[in-house]
Formats: sequence, C-alpha cells, structure tokens
Amino acid sequence: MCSIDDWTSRHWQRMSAVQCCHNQPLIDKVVPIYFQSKDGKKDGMSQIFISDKARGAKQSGALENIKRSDPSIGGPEYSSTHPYIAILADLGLNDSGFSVTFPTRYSSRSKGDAKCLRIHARGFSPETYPFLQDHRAVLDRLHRLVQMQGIPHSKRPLAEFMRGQVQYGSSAEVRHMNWEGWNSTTVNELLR
Amino acid sequence: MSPIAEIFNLATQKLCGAAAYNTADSHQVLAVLAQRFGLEVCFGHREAVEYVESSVASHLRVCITTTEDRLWSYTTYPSEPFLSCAAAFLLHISGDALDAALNTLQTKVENGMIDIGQRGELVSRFLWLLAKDLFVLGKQEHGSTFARGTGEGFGAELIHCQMISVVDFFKFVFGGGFWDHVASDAKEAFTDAYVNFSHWVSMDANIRQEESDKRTLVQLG
Repeated sequence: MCSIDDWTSRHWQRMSAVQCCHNQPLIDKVVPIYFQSKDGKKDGMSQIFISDKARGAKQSGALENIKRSDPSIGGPEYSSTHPYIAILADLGLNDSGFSVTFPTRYSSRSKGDAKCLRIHARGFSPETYPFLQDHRAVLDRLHRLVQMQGIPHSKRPLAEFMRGQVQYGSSAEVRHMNWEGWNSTTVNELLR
Repeated sequence: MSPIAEIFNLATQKLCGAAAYNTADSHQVLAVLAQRFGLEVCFGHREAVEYVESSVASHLRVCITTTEDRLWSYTTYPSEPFLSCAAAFLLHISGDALDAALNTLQTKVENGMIDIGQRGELVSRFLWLLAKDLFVLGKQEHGSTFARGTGEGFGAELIHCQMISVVDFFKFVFGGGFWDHVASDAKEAFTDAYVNFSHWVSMDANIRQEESDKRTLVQLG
C-alpha cells in the first residue's frame, strides 16, 4: 500500500481529487495540496479533507474529529510539518456563513497533525459561498439538489404525481382529483 | 492547427460521440459530467442499461466487467486529466452550457437514474470542482481556450490542470475577507500551497483498508 504522502503525491500528479468510499471514517473527500519552495521545487504534500453533511441538524464534533494522524487516514506514524485543511460542509443547514480556526500554538509532539485550518461551512447559500452570487444558475440548480437530499425517492415530485394519479378519488384533495389540472409541460418535465 | 489542439479536438469529439457538443443531447451532457464528477448510475433504473451501453459504445466510458448473463455491466470513466480538460472546456463552452448541463443532471437525479448520495456527496463534488473551474475561468484573459503558454507543440499548459494558489482559491470560494477571519500566520502557512484537481476519482476501499479490517476484527471480538 502507498504511504499517505506517496498516495497524495500520485493524486497530485494525476490532477485528481478523491471521493472516499462510503465506509471511510471521518472524511468523504481528499484534495491534494502541493507545497512549492521559493526556488520552484517540491517542498512536500498536504491535503484538504472534506466531510459532507446534508442533514438539517448541526453535526457537533465532526470537524474537530478530523485528524490526519487518525489510523483511518495517515496513521499515528505519519509525519509532516506542512499544515492541512479540514472542512465540514454542512450543506443541509438552514443557517448560513462559515467559521474558521487555526491554532496559535502547536505541539511538536504530534507531527502528523501539523497545524490544521478548520472550516465549518454552514448551509448552501451565497453568504457561505460568495462565488455563487455571480453564478445564480449554478446556485439554483445545486440548491435544488441539496433540498432533494433529504427527500426519500417515494416523496420526490415524480413519485408524488404518479401516486396521486393511481389513487384517483381516494380523497377530495387536488392531487387525487384534479388530474386535468396538470398541464402537459409540468408532466413532461416530471416524466423526462 | 497545433498538435495539441488536434488531440484536444479528437478528445472532445470522442467524448461527445459527435463532431460538435450538443447541450440538448443528454448522453453527451452526461458524458461530459460523468468523466469529471463521478456520477453514479442507479442499478435497476429503467434508463440505466441504455445509458451505460450508449456511454460505453459512444462516449469513452469503459466496461470493467459484466455479469455472466450479460444483463448488467460495471462501468466507469478512468482517471484521465487530459480528457477532464476536454470535458471542462465543453462544460463551459458557451454562456448557457453549464446551466443546460446542470438542468440535465437535475432531471436525471429527480427521475432516479443518477444517485445523489447519502450525505450530499454529489452536490459537494460539483461545488468544489465547479468553484475551481470558475476561479480558473475568471482569471482567463483570452476567453474560450483550453491551453495557455507556448501553444505550438506540447509546451502549452492546460488551463484546467494548472496549479492554483490555495490562498487565492479560498478567497474566491469563501469571499475576499476569508483570511481576515483567522490569525495572519494561517495565510502565511498556506502561501506556498497549491491545488490542481481537474476531476474526481472514487475509491472502493478505505484509504487505509488494513486498519479498517483490524477494527472490524476487534469489533467482532
């Protein structure tokens, strides 16, 4: 197996970022960071670790628990003086904004856990990610997907529509009675 | 046309399975997205088999294995940065190309063919990689292009594979005042740090699989 440094370096050279497998503890994504010395030579590798959350409730401890020296990531033997970044992307929160910390003091004993910039990004809005302000189409499309995240398949628009159609008359509600109320554009959108 | 431009054009045509990218063709759009963003097709969806077969036949998706009855194939897009640059170029080829692609994605997620993940993984992949795309494109001086530098021969740098400053990238994502929220030594610590990711690669195992196996054994007693 590759060392974490070699693994990161190879992903850097391949220009790839990593989506971790579902069972990976603590993190969901890794983006390689390359440190370059002033003379343009390689100075070492580091990582951005991202934990994705789509629940509506705040995930306490999820950010602080991300440690590069964790046995599931670099391991206690991993040694690096380069700082790394841990991000908790709490996409499902209605709250917005971000908080960021960076330790002012650092214990030289924990070399694998060199200084860590920790970012808690709350919600999915231009307040949290200002670049989306200039890209409203991206914001709207992705926001729709974030909203869908919490909805089971059986509750999604197409399933709701179909259920209403086959249960015609089972209640006096519009979804069970007013089948002609759906215009063809809406239905085609759902069925596409 | 320079040799790299010829290969680049070939890559875009092979990915699209056509001479020119058509944002109204969902197969082409999904090819452009799947090569970079790791779209996961839901097994058993009525459109899944047709999509997978078409992707392998015409859009550079690769078949890893098939079931013995050949009813289902395990397929993927291999990691290929040059092709990722071609896909990125197509994704932003016109003012409305990105919106059209995201519209197709939304439709395929809503009808259940593309898996959205359990914890926002898919949205997050789009968020970070599109942020990097838009950052790079915002710095472009010469409009729609795929490479910069010495354009003749193979000396040019592919713009979506270039290394970008972590300090500048986080200012772009979280706003110009991002580094003012922490002590100045944080910005200093990342002054010489760069990222260059052009696509996502999905893992099938944990980063340190043997550690996970040990944990499982301990838990099982």
